[in-house]
This record gives sequence, structure tokens and C-alpha cells, in this order.
Amino acid sequence: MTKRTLVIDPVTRIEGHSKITIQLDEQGRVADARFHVTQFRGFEKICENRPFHEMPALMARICGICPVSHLITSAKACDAILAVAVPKTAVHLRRILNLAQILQSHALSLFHLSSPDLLLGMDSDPLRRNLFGLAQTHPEVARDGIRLRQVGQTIIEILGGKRIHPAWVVPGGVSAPLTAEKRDQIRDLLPEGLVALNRRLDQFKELFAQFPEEVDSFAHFPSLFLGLVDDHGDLEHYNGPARVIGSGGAVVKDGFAAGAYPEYIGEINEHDSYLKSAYYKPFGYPDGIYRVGPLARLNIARRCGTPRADRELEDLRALSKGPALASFHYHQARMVEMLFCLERIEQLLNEPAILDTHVRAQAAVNAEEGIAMAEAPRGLLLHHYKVDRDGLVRWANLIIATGHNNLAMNRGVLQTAQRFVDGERLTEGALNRVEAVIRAFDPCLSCSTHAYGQMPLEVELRDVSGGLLDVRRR
Amino acid sequence: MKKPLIIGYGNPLRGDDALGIRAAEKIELLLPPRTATVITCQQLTPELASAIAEASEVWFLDAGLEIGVRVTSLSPAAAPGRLLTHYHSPESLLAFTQDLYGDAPPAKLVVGSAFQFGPGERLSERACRVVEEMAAVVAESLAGHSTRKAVRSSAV
Repeated sequence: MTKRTLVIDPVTRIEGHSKITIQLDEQGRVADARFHVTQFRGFEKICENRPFHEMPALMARICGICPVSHLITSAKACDAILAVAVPKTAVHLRRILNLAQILQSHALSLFHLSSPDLLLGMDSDPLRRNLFGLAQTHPEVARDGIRLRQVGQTIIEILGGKRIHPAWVVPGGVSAPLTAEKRDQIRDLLPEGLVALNRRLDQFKELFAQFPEEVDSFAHFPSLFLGLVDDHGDLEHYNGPARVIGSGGAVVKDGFAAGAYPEYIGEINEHDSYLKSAYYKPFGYPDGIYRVGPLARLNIARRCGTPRADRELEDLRALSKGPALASFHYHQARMVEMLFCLERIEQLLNEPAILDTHVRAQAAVNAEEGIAMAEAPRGLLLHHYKVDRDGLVRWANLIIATGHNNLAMNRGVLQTAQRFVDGERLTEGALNRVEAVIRAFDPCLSCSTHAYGQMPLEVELRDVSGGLLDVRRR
Repeated sequence: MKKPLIIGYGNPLRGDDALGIRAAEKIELLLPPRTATVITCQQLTPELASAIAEASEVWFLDAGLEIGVRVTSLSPAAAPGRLLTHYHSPESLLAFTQDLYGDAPPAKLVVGSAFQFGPGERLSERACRVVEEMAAVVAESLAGHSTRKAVRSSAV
């Protein structure tokens, strides 16, 4: 047998465009496997020479799933350029918006994208292994997934004016305060979300336990974990320094602020993907592999800080000795975080000053650089801008959750392919598992491909009949 | 009590592709308050199923390369085919609603002529006239014959 390459193109039920290649050796065994992101957005370049105050609204256009994360992180970077203290009420309101986004995004990932694998089976008919098949076989699950997503989207709409690409978060705060009527509308949505989630929690925990092979092989390996924590070391999605822990749970680095990221986070361009790979700089590339996102956040945090989510966190932690190293557990981590989001939003709505009308600090350009971090649904998001004295953006760097996870996703694809793919007896179910390990990370590829001037590029010039005239490679 | 649902969809940044959205907004102005629920969106997504299930009837409003305004009655798709998270056809969305909630209301698709899909938030002049026509067709149907004259005069 000769060496062969299997190509899975496109990878389905993820956000964005990508493919997977699997290299088989002469014996038909998996020698290598790679995850390639095939789309390019380029927002790092697009934003150059634009006024910095346009950045939140512009950056939100990066994504239709998690625009709020870019909106908030961008606004925080602009807060640093203004050098203002954002009013406390505005911080609470931004937090609510971010939590609503995490809720709707996690519901999309778990119920719309991954549930068909879990409920219909990894080996089930691919024509039915989708949301439509789920609606036919498990309508009650699909209904609850849709309802949970709606709760998050509706909160975003109430606060931001629209479900996708709201522009309510601005440099210095938010553009309008919360009214009592809107607060009550949001509050009224929460119980239904909790009921829908509680209906699915036990069912899905039992379901997850039916996939021991996938738990063992879906990116199950030691790595670092990175995320934000609050001052007490608890789960944090908006502020706080970053913490890095090792696979045994020991803290490797605690409390690095956004401005210190160049010291700790390195980025490298792979030859076969538009997605940059991030690594923990002190450990070098590729030893500095780490994971971000819901599982990482729950691994590094002392606790969630809300009662129901903390009970669920105990169940998640009971699955592993020390930090959960199995990326399959990302699914369960999403459920814990959805619960946290609903509980925490209620707590924030009960803050005494939540209706305060002072929600924006005004200033001109006071700093020529702004760096900010916040937690997006898929993990740590970092925006870094340099501006001139007129406030025009001269340079930008975006490090996106999916980029943080790129090394781990690639290693996970290889691990899963080596476990399930047999070059002599290829099955659709085996190839689906190679895609499903990517789904566990819930990558958002449209968010994450902004490198400019370094990525590999090949341009072919052809005549009208298709004849090759010239090729330029970088 | 169940109310009619109007879903206008299209890309508001691509010229006449926003015909359906603009027509839905116009209908909301033409009808008495709380007569119908109006939703505007870029694409048909699964979450719309719950609103469809709660409606007495559904009107989908879209831009197309038709001549004038075409109204078609819809049925849930018998074979929905490949279902994408970001996009449904009206028929597949009706079938999805039927599977999820046990039933789907009567539905119609109103497609109006679009003339340019270039970047921009403005409709072409001809498309603006099509919006008026689309809105009048739906509003007249929902308001009934007795109010037709009033609706027609305010639509022009």
C-alpha cells in the first residue's frame, strides 16, 4: 500500500471554514493529522487608520456568533486609550451582556452542533445527524436548546438594541442606562432558562458517560490551561488577571495583566493554516501548548461563586483527578457555565446601583496604546491597539480563543485519528469522530484569522482557458 | 390569542437584498398596533421556529429576481435536505417547526424584485416601489377587505 492522504473538507457543524487532512503510512496507519483553517478575515489590517472610537462597533463585525465578546474587549482596550475608570454600573451592564452571549453561544454549541453526535450517535446516518434529525428524534431537547439560546439572545437585544452586532457598549462605558422595565424583562426570562437547563443537566451527564472511548481520545493529554480569575481566584469572564496552571493543577503563573501578555503569550504561523497558534512563551513552542475556554476556566478557578453552578462543578471535577484533561468534558463545562450565566445575571440585576444613569466616562485620547482581555465563550480574547495622538489606529493585534486552542486542536485531531481511523477499513463514523473532537473545542474560525503579511500564500495567474501563466508563493 | 407573524429577511448592507426587511417594517406601520408580530433578520435560523409555532399564520418576505411581486403558499418541506445552522429555507423552517412543536401554521412567501445587490444600505428607487407593493399585499390580506382603501392610500 502506498502513502495516502485523507481529506475531510469541510469540517461540519462548527463556526467557519476548515478542513482536516490525515496522512496514512504504507500500512494504512495514521502517521499525522492536521486541522487547516481555510478562511481569512484580516481585521488586524482592516482597522488601521480608523478612529479608535469606531473599534468596538467595527470589531463586533468580526463574528455573528460572538460579536458581543469583540465589542466588550475592544471597548475595554479603548477605555485604556481614554485612561478612564468605567462607572461601576456600566461594568455590571457589560458583564450581563457578556454572560448572555456566553449563554446563547454555549447553547448553540452543545444543542445545535454537538447534540446530534451525542444523541443520535457518532456512527449514525450523516443525513440525519444534524439539527433536523435531532428535532425529529429528540424534539424536547431541541426545544430546550432553542429556548436557552433565545434567552441569551433576547437579553442581548433588550440591552443592546439588537441580537447581532449591538453597538451599545462604547469606549468609557455603555451608551444608555438600564431602565426598570428592561431590568424586569430580563429578570422574567431567567426562570425559564433555568428550568430548560435543569431538564437537560442530568440527561446529558448520563449521556456523556456513554462515551468513554471519546473521553479517552478526544484531545485527552496534559497541557497548560489559561484563563481569567477574579481577585479570589474564582470564575471570571470580564476582568481580572490571567492565570496559567499546569496539567497537575499547580499554578504556573498567577496574576498577569493584559499589558503583560507579550511576555507570556507567543504566536506562530503554521505553514498550512490561516489560524495562528498561540503558546505559553516561557515554555517555548510547541511545549507551551495550552487550552482556553469553558473547561480551562473551570480548571483554573477555585469555584464558580454561584450555588447551583458550584454543585455542578463538583460533578465535573469528580470525573478527573486534578484538572480535567479530556477535551470531551468541554461539553459538560459548557452546561456548568450556562447555569452560572443565568445565576450571575440575576445577581447582577439585583445590584443596588444597576439602574444608575451614570454609565459612561468621557475623555479624549490620553494613552497611545490600549490592551484588554475578556473571556469570550470559547476562551480568552485579547485586543491590542496602538493609536496616534489624533486617535487613529496605527496597529492592532488580536489573539482569539480559537488561536489559543490551535495547538491543542491539532494534537487532538491526531490523537483521535490514531485511535479511530483505520486506513484499510475507513468508516464514516471514524471520520466523524475526527470532526467531533474539533466540535468539542467549539472553534469560531471567522473570529480568529487576522494575521497579515506572514501567512503562507500562493497566487496563480491563469489565462481565460485556465492555462497557468505565473505562480507567486510566500 | 395567536397573531399573524411577518418575517422579513435579507442583508441590509447589500442594497435591494433588504427588500423583505423594509417591507416588514412598512407593514408594521400600516397595520393597527399589535395586529401582527414582525421579525426582521438577515437569515432564517432555527430559533424562529418557536415564534412560528405561536403564530396563526406566517408571511415570509424576501428579495428575489422575480418581476414584480409574487405570492406563493408554502407547505413544510417533505424532504428538508441538508439543514444548516445559519440558513433555512422557509419550507425547511416550517418542517422544523412541525417536528419540534407538532404543527406549523399556514404560510406564504412574498418575493419582490430586487435590482442591485451591491454594498450599501439604500434600496434602489425601483425597489422602493416594490417594497410599497409587497407591504400593501400583506397588509391588505391581514387587514381585510373593509380597510383595503385606507391601507392602499397610506401605502402609496
